[in-house]
Amino acid sequence: MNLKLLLPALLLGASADAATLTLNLEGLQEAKGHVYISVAADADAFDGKGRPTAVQRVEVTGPKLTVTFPDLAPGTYAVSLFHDANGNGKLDTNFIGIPKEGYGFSNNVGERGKPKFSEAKFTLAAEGTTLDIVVF
Amino acid sequence: MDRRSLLQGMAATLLAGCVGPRVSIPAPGAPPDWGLGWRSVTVDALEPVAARVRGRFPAPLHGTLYRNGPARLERGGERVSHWFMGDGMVQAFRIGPGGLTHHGRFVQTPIHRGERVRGNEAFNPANTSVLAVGGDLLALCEAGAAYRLDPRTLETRGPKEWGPELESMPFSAHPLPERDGSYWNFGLAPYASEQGLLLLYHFDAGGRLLQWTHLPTPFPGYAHAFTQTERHLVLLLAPLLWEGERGVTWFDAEAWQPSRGTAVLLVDKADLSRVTVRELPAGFVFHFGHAWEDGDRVRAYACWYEDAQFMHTDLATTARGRAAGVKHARLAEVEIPLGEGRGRVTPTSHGAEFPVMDARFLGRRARVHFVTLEDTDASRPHGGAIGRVDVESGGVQRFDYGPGVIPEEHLFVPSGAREGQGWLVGTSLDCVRAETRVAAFDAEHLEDGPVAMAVLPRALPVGIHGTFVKA
Repeated sequence: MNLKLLLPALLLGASADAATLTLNLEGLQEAKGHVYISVAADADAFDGKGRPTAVQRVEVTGPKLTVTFPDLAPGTYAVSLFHDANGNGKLDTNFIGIPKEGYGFSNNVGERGKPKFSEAKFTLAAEGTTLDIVVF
Repeated sequence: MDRRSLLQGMAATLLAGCVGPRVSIPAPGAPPDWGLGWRSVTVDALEPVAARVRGRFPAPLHGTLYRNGPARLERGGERVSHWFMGDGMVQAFRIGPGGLTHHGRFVQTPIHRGERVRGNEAFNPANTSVLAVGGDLLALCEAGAAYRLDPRTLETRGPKEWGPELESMPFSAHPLPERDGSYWNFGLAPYASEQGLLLLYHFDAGGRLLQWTHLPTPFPGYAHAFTQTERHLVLLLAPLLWEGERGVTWFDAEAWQPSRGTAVLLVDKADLSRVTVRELPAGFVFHFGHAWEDGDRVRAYACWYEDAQFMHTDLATTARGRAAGVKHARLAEVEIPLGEGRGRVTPTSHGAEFPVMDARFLGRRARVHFVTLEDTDASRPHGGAIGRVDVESGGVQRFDYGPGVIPEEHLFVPSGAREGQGWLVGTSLDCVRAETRVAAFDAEHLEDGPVAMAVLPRALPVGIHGTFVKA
């Protein structure tokens, strides 16, 4: 991880309006690999065309996992995640694009395919927000 | 026996009580409750009941008529938005010398059981048709995997696995029988790429995959069924475009883009990689009649709609049918040049759906189409009649089930060498008396009325397609 990139984030974290986003994940199929989580503040970032506000890679040890993002500015976000069970660093799909590994979004949308930012968006309150996310 | 009096005498007989719980019979002259056809079954299995039979089912019809259709039209306490989204329930009508019994069971898909689903299986209620192969009865739905059922008990055995790479791949509800006993099928994955993907399957009567392939489509359009000649598989791709990026699926009105016209894919059966693309005017087809190669062109019959209205009609409107402005299809002649050039569509005057042909003549020049006649009486929300249309002579034989009745697809069972010589067997829903019936006809003499009619002590929701398996 590049420390230069981390510095602005740490400064952000010191701001008075820092809020904590807590994600309770459930339904992880295998206790192996990592889950990659992205928090996006707009449609471009959500669709992979821009930079997400925050990302984390967390080891999977069981069907449930709690992950916190402690220093986000309150506002509108959408979460997307996938479970890289086999450790190849990507979400594996079959040849028609159906994921072979677990994935999920805020608001638990996306069972039928990738949702829009507007469907997955939620408001992070100043006092913090907790979301339950089912991994499909 | 006089078959006309058979029907007339039925009402009186039926008042004499039936087995099992019954909806009370309304007073004479009560209006039909068309909504009965789209009412949910609230139990997972309908236990076997015997029907009251008048007349006699001929020996060639001793066997089982299986039908599939959406029978639970709520999910999470809300009505589903479209008829095609309801959970599939397979009905079995067993016909024997002793009469007719019925039982039914929901297909245990993940969505029926309320389990978490992902990807295209989230669209698959296994609700469209059935096919008997390899000791299984397959419940078919174009969205994804076929589900294997026990043909006797209708219990779900699990998804049909054609091979490791093909798990939950789209597999249409309309496989085509080849002369050697094998079957062709296709599947559409419009979300697989910008232009969409067509899968082709060839499998044997034992349910083993012989070959499969996939190829890009000209655009991510829609097809519910396909047809064949002796040399080609013929797929019409309607300009109904699935655009995942815009969040548009086939069920959204903005998916209809008639300016693109209809694309025709002619696939060489001897080499599935050889595909010829032709163009037809914009239109929409669920089902095909006969098709064959006529010199320099493919001639095919199809139930042709001017647009994709039916895909964008909500459940309440579907239930009211023509009364709510739902347009019917017309049987149309389609000409597709094998060489260069654009194809032609010539609708006939026959409003028709659920075409069934004598399968012994598939791929060759043939004439007989058994259909539900959709334009019998415009004042009725649902056509009310079945017909036998001869596309060569233009002749139509019809049998009108009478007011308040919704006829469903009738299947042909051959008995004799002539095209269309045999028996027709099919279900209908009487929306006045709240009962489902099964009738058999001499397929060459529909006007004579049924030779046998079985009346169930229950009303089943309107289904889609079926198959007949001889005893």
